[in-house]
Amino acid sequence: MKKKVYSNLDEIVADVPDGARIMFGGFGGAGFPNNLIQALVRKGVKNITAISNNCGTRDGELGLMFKNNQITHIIASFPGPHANHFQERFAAEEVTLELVPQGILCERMRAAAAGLQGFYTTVGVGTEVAEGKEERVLEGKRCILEKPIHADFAFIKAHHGHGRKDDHCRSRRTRSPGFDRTGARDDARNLCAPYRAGERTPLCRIAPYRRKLCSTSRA
Amino acid sequence: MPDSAVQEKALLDKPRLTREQIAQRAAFELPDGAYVNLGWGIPNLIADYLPKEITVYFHSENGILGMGRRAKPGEEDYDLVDAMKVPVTLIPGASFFNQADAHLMTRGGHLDVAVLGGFQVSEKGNLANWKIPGAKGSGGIGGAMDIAAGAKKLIVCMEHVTKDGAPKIVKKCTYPLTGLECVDTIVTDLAVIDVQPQGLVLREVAPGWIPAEVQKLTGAALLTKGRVPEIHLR
Repeated sequence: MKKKVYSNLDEIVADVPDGARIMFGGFGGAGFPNNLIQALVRKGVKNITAISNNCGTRDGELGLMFKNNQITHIIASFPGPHANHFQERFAAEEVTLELVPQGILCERMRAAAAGLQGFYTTVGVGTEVAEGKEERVLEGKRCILEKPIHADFAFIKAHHGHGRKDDHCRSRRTRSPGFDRTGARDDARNLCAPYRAGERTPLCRIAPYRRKLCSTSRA
Repeated sequence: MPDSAVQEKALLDKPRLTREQIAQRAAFELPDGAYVNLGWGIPNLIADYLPKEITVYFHSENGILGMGRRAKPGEEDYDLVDAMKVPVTLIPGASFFNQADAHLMTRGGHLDVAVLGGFQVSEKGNLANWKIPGAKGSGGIGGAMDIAAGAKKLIVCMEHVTKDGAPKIVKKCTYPLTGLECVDTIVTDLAVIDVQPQGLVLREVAPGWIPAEVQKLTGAALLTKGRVPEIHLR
């Protein structure tokens, strides 16, 4: 069985190649796998396709990767008011953006995980989002066809994990629910790291179909 | 200056509701026991003005049902934020879920009321609220399209006219659309307007305003049924 628990972050991302498609968990400033993002920055991978709700907050979250010009395409719903590094690259046409309604973004990720080739939705009908998409009327409603989004890796942030014995991770409150549990169900390999260095949790690398992620937290 | 332009200028200087008062008026539209999503901007202020006698359950599209008030200083937990990324609290019985389930609720008709901000609303109830043509940057959709497509009742809270005095309630939206025929009610600093099959029905006007004045600042025809009362804030 492949090694799952690593003692340092750089080792986890060692085999992430240039051109990889990576899903990132997180919503706004909460729940982004910042330690893993920093490891990608140190590694200097290029030509990344990122799938993420947001595009970073100044130097935070994906901001660092845009600053370093490592991302060439991003699929996102809300770049965010302080995604200045992204906006600079976007204005300079160094990065392309596919803007997707938030719920459709995660549903397309979920479709990939669930082995569905797409689905029809009323969301976005008659808007820029519908451009170039097949349209038909179902149950009396205008709908557009949305296709799955696949990835090679899903990066998520865990609150704690049982790295030695198994590959369970838990998240905390709204930190994870963002996109983590949606993306991490895809056949991508999930890389997750505890949020704070020095925490007791070991670093985990989780193989597909072998994890039980983030059980729903109680309030 | 022609007479009509002078009149319009005078109207633009007339007192209107504040953003807080728009929120306060919109809060009266929420029925007791409703599941509610509040968008960015004025809608987000509504939680502070809920009538005491009603209980509503706030949904946040990042994955909370049962969101409470904003966290006070010292209480903030940055793992517990609302869709504007502001630290919030929970009410007893609150739950967390993933993004896909959060939007299952928005699209699937499980929200009784959603309140969004708007740049333009058309007489058919089309909404434009995510990008201003020609503005710098990429724009951002977020959860607005899912919410607009699925909420049982959609209220839009916004100023009645732009900073330059141009109507935001129009015959046809010229800004990029968020959704088609999705808006049910518009609450502005001048009026409460319902989108009905026959057109836009003026339900209430701001204190000191008359329907004809509101019509002058509106880009689509407003229908009235008898005397139009003034907005009453408790």
